[in-house]
Amino acid sequence: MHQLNIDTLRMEAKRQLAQLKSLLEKAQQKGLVDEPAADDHNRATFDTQSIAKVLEVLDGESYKLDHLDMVLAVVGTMKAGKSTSINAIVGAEVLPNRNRPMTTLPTLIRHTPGVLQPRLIFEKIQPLNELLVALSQAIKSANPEALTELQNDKDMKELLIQIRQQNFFESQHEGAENIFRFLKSLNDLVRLCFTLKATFPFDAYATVEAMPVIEVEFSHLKDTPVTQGRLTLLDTPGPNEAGQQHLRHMLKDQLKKASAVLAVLDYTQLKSDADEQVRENLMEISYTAKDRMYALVNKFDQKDRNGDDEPAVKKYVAQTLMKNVMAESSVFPVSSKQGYLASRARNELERNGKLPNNECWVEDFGKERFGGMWVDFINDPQMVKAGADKLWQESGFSIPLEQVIFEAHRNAAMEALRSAASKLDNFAKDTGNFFKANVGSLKKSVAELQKNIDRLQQDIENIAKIEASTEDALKGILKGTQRKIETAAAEVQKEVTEKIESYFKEGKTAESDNLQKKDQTKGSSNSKEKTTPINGFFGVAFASILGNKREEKDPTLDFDPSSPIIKLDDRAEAQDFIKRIESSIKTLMDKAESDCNSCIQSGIDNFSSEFEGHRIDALEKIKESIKRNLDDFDIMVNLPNTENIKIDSPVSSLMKNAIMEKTRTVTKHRRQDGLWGTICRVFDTDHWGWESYQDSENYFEIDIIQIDKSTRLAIDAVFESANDILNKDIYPQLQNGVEDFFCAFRKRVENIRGDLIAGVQKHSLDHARKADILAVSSEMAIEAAALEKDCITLNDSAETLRYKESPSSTRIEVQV
Amino acid sequence: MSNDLAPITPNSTLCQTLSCLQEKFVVDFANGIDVTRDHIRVQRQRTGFFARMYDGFTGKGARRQTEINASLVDGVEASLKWLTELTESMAQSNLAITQVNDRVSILSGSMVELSHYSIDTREQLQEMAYRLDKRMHDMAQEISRIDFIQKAKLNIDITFSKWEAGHFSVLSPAGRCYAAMEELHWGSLGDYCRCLDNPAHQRREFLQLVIDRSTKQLAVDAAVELQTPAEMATVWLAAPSISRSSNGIDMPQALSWLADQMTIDSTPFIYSAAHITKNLPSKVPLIAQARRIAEAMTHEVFPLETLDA
Ligand SMILES: Nc1nc2c(ncn2[C@@H]2O[C@H](COP(=O)(O)OP(=O)(O)OP(=O)(O)O)[C@@H](O)[C@H]2O)c(=O)[nH]1
Ligand SMILES: [Mg+2]
Repeated sequence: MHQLNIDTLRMEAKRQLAQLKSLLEKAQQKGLVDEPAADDHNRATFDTQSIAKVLEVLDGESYKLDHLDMVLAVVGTMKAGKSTSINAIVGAEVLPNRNRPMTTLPTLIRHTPGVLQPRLIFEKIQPLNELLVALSQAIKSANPEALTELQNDKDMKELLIQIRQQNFFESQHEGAENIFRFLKSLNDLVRLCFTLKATFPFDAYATVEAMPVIEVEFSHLKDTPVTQGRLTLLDTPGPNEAGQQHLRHMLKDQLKKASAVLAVLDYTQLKSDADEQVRENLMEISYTAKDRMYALVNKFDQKDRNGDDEPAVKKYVAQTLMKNVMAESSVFPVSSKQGYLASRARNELERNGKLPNNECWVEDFGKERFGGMWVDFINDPQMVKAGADKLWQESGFSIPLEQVIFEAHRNAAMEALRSAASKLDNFAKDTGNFFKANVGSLKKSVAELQKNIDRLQQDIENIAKIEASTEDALKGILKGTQRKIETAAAEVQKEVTEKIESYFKEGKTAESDNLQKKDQTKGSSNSKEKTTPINGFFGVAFASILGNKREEKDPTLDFDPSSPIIKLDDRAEAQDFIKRIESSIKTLMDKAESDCNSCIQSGIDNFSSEFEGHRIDALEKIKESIKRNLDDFDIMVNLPNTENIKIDSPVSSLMKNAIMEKTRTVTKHRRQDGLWGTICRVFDTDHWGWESYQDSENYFEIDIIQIDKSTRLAIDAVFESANDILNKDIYPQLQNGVEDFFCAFRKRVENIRGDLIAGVQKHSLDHARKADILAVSSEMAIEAAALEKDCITLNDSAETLRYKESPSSTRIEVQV
Repeated sequence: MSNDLAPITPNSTLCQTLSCLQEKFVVDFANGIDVTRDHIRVQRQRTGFFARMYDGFTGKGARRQTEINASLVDGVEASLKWLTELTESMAQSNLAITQVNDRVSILSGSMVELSHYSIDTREQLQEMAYRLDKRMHDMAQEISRIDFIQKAKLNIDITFSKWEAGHFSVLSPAGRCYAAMEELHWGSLGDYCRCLDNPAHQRREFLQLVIDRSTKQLAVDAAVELQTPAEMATVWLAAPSISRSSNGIDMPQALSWLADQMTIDSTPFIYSAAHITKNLPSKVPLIAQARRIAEAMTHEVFPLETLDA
């Protein structure tokens, strides 16, 4: 079997780029390329302006093939050790790690050979400095109590001084310490904004270009040749960090583009309540990054005798957490801390021959490796070297590092290849058409040519008509989906009413029964709190349901059937009751969520089948018409691919995210355990509807009004989330996809028409010149046609290779 | 007993397999006659493939019946005599005859200015010009006759059955394709296609047939699927490990000689199939499907422009 390998394809791409470039340059030299037409709609496929851009793109693609840009995105739950892992890869402390959320803005760390002293470059510093100005105002009007509290925090105090003195941030920071300080104040800045309820300019940092970049030589890569490409690590804020919603799209996009994704999980938190969220986050990433995703299960040094061992961890993460979207062989229990310390020690030894005297990491290293006696060994380079090597080995870091970098390299090559191949494919087609149009125009009379031009205009207008009707159809489907969601919401809210009503009935019955029992044994007790009678259906409903029972009651009993408060004093009974309410509400919320999912999904499906059905049919007819109109030119205009008219994530994960965002503020304050915690994230309050009183006597109060209110809010949040993603994600994505699609198609036809218009002008040239142009164009049309075929082959091969299993036989040499 | 110098005789397996060799030999022979310097140019290079054919055809090596005194042949007068003979017995194609004819006209032209040639020689040349002219005329008529189509078809069939039967198997797949192309180029198909009086659609149809059959055979030979692209260097241009038979060395040499007029720029596929090169010509893709090679080869041998004209 002949297996095409990626290096051959890369070289072939380079050959094609060079060929295409020389063809276009020749066309320029031979005077086949004219000035741009005055009217934008009459522009030729290539004019002096557009051809320059195309040549630039070709050069860019060629450069990218030679200089692979590998981005390794590091993601994970809060405090799992993303930054420590990055420090381990770099072999130096370039990122701060503390015991509270640290990484605020996504940060790039770029392997830059020769740069031993890390430097941070943050071009886009302006918005931060503007924030400093704004904050100095905000502080003046801030609640003094909050400020005092802030003053107690040493780091925060420093920041407050900086703000007061209006000390602006620099856009470049040299050395680990300065970088550290800067990143720390960035973090403090976000926290301060949170306290002062000021807005951090996250939006300004929602593009890759805006990210801070740290340049430094990665000790593990210093011996790899430049041709292997440039590795950049992307440190991401934890999924629950403030500002996530602003950065989410960008981060998602980055993950999609990343050459490999390294998910860092916390061994000690693996089975905690964070579990569900980790899984969801990773599952969402896996949708786009499935086969280039690795998991480090960090802090494996914390394993005690009873903890899961390596095989168990691999199995648990791959099968249970990741539901088998990730292979066990991609899961690595590691200790990033050890990896970092070992890696840094080795790096330091290699550079200076010994470890520095007064840096605290050295103590960490010494203790980690040599225990309490570390001081005895730390000055012996040989012991240190052996110790560092041993620690590096123990950290378990080397195998994943090698694999991930290998994978990143392969994927970066693949990405560069795919990008080049798809551009080549398009440009080669354009080039072929351009020459054919030139040849054809010169062979025809001006009158005939004018006829072609007019007919093509008709086709272009027809495309516009279909575009307009497609957009209407999309809008219609949006409205329809919104209506469906409304109906579903009303339905679920009705169920809420019924459910709560029945719990109320049940609760009141229990309360009254209890009271009766209690009265028989103890006598009456005092009311702890004045309950307010309620109006509305609970009261009425209850009155009508228990109406006759009420008559039987002793009026001295402390029982108010119309009060929304249910009092229960049996602990087990109360807890069981609450649990059942919880589970009903959870069921309803799940239903709401799944109703939304299916409404939206069916809207999307409707649109796709609409589009793929008669829109495409109509466009195919236009395509045929164009073909007929260009018959003697042998030109074929294909429809652009419909690949981009789709949603980039599954609806369910969009929904989950949107709901999570709506509830984020609460989670920030406190994390509730269990099911109820998940449900209650929705409310920005601590009062969920029940309380237990434990002073003079144990009893529970369950406020049914509060529960009803909270539940409705929760359900509303779900439906609001659905509308949000519909309006902010789904519709814009589909609309952009449609717009791009039509724009590409129309442009192609317009350009060819433009070529013919240019052809009309060429008829005014003298005979010899015309003959010359014809001869050159014919020759080049043949060359372009051949190239076009090669481009298609390359593009197909690249796509085929992409879906093949990654070969593990060849590995690039990375010293780890 | 094959070596780089061994003569190649007309009835050798090689010449049987590649009947185009003798056609090209006659043409090259004619083109080698240099009346101004009274010798045959190519003859001096004793190591080239032409020289080996020359030896084999003159019987120098094999002492054959048609043996002619070497010193005589080296002279122009004898050469002309022998060219006449060769043309009559070996040149079957209109292509060869036309080219010999072109050469003879040039020779006649230059001889007018040269005094040291005998009347005899001049007359001989004129006689030859006359006969060539007549043959060309007859042939042109034949080629435009409807039943010549059958000959062209036969040419295709014979060529591809040679290929299918493994007669070119010492060559790389692309080399085999090129060998087949030369058989067609110098054969009746070539004559048919170059005749502009013949209907263009028929000529196109023939070339399409050639492309299709080559495509299929290329894919079979390289054991790749029709739609699957394969590497040029390691698949399409990869010769089987050198066979010890004389063919194993001679056929690639013959191929290279057949392509001696081909340039890297105008016929890059042929160039890379016939010559051993370190790097592929920039116009040749590093990966290709069988059809791409078949098309490129076909069009390099039968340029589209000649069809359209
Ligand atoms: N025991 C142990 N602790 C570790 C290890 N790696 C990191 N830690 C500790 O975990 C804490 C968080 O580490 P970071 O690297 O800052 O984690 P992070 O994921 O970057 O955190 P954020 O960016 O704030 O979300 C720090 O206190 C580290 O010292 C490890 O391998 N073992
Ligand atoms: Mg971090």
